[in-house]
Amino acid sequence: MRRLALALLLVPAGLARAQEDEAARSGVLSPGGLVVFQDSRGPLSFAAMTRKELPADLVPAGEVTREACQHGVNIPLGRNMGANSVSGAGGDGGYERALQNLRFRNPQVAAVYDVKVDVHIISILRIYRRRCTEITARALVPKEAARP
Amino acid sequence: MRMSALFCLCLLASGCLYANVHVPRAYRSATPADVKASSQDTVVSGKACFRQLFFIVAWGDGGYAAAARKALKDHPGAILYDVKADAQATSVLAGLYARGCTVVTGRVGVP
Repeated sequence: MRRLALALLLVPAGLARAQEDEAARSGVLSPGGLVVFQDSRGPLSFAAMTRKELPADLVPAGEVTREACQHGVNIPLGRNMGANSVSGAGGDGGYERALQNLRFRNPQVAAVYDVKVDVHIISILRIYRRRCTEITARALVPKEAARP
Repeated sequence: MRMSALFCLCLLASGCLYANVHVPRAYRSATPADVKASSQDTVVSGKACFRQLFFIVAWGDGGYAAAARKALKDHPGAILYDVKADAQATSVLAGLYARGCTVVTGRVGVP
């Protein structure tokens, strides 16, 4: 009963700390436990240009969205094996890949502005985690591409 | 048996059996110089939230894109400038129900 009370007291603090860490860290996925292998890339900084900084001969072409993802697997182990879990992670969830994906899907896009960046997190039983950098922006295309 | 129960409790409590959430990261918004700004431009606000229940499931879109979309729902084609973004947290009963929101407030400009 005492343990239960202690756990309930500690959990909110732990969750708050985890969310704070998530916000403060770079965007590289942290798979947790004993990391056997990791080769992943995450977002760090992106000073997107504003409309005024972009060439005036480009014309607006609506809103575009694309994401780039990292994946991680964390396998819990028994209590007596020295580590709580082993994990691995991979994938390119960086800004550069997200923009590449955006241009691959919309090859006529020459530049983007009004850029919003969100992080899309999917976690299943804390065993599988996916962390995607999602870019939503207004696209600019050359005048020729905008013509019907 | 007691340890198994404690393990299950910790698993339940350690942050979600299933989570599918959007959280904000960065927003390079327009400046007054980027739009046809006017003193008559209206100020709008949009709020986007994700929620967590019983430390078991988390869901929702609390990102900048959703908040900005909601702010501009009555102004299609417009763009937000002079943007302020705030985070709002709500927690009930030590986090048994928790909500995190992104609130975007800005002026509506014509691109």
